[in-house]
Amino acid sequence: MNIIDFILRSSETQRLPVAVYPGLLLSGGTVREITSDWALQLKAIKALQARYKSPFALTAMDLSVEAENFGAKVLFSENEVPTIDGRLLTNAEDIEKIKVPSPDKGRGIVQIKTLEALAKEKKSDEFILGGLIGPYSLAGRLFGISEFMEITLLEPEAAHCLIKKAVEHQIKYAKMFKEAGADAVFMAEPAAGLLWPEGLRDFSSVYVKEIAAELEDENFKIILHNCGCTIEHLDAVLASGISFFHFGKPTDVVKAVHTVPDNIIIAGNLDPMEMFVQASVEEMKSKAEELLSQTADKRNFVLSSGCDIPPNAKLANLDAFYAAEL
Amino acid sequence: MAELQKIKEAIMGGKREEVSRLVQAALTAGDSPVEILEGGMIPAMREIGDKFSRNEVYVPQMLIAARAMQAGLALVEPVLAQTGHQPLGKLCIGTVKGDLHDIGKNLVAIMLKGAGYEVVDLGVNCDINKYEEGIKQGANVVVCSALLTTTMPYMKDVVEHFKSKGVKVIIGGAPVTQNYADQIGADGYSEDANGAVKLVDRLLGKTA
Repeated sequence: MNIIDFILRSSETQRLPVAVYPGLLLSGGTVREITSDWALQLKAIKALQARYKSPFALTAMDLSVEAENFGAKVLFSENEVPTIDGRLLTNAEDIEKIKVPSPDKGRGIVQIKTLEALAKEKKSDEFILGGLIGPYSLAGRLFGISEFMEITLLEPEAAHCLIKKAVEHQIKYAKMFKEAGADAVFMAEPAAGLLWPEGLRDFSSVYVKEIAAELEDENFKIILHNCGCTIEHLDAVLASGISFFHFGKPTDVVKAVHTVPDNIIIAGNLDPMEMFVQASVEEMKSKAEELLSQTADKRNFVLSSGCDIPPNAKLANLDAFYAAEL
Repeated sequence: MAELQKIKEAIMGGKREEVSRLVQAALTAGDSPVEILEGGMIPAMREIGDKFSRNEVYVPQMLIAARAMQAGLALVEPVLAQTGHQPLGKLCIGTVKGDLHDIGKNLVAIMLKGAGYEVVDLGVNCDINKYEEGIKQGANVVVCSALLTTTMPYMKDVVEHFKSKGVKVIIGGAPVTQNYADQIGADGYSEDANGAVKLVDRLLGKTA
């Protein structure tokens, strides 16, 4: 059974928090270590699996891996997720010239090896997900996010050219996850959520559709994460043609799940900082239960965080997330 | 008036070269730089900010409008300086210590400047001494930005430092919430750049 059928046939609402870094609270170690050492990342993920018995395991959301592979400079710190420093590309000529690297070099291998190890040990009705960045967001990391949004409007041909190169890389990288045993990839496309709806459709969804056409089959699915978009973007996001969407705080997920067909999965959207870091256990439980209640009639809803949960989250709040009841 | 409307429309459309041409033509024709600024340029940025709040335009449109505004300001500001024209207020802005992210900070700075405020941009990785430099330059509000959950707590230090000095501190950034602003005693929080302009308007009792 694939991940979508599993969720749709579940008797209760599934939970899929975007949580790997909080595993450090159980396994020890630092963000820097688990983004550069697959065995330590595996340890953190397995610690979470042992505690929560979730049917889902997701590799770390390290969204600098692909841009680093293209040659971008990455800043590392002990307890923050690696981030891109500066701009690798600054003009249309740079975009034209840059070659698409092979994804089998660099830190992407950390994610692949982590996933491979998880896949080897997975049981039936368990699903292993690889985390990677979406094409528009990758292009933005290479060109500078705000500058890329500007050329999206002012030099759309150059923007499309870079996104196509990002697509080429991400198809290869996602295939590596698939070959390593992934049931799905969790593709984070946050920058596209800052675009206007038609822009999101033309500069992101069209390309997600292309990636899906290359990769999706009965047993392998793409989950599209967009923590920047709003309910106004829903049609544009759905234009990607896939069946599993994960939204952040700005999206009214209750409205979204009541708008889409019943075979389209909507996941979200408890704010990572507000709920998993700052809120009390009671507030966390109450908010999760409110969302469960508002979506109780929908089997195609998955309770989740709205984005990646940071390493300084409270385990007690994650406990409350899983303990929340309808 | 027709020229001011054209300048306004050119800024809102993000037409940088057209803004330069129109503003230069207006200045050459002897139009008041204050009128160009307050009758054409500032209303353009205020309107685009309002459209952003209503989901009628999005971040890319704001960014190109801001670039066009900057092109106009580069021509108007030197002339304004000679007239003794005063901005609505003066603020300093920076991303907090340990944090090198600047997209949100830049957007807020651009919108505040576009709304008629003078903005001292302190850049990224700002410690309290850096914010103090902004105050020494005449700012009476500190605007703090953070993207990282690990750098956000430094905002509390900034708030506490300036509280005793009567300087207002407002905060924002992806992980920041109104609850957090309340917890640390900040004078205000905004979740987006246009909201930051409205917040500063309220704090300083100003309208453009």
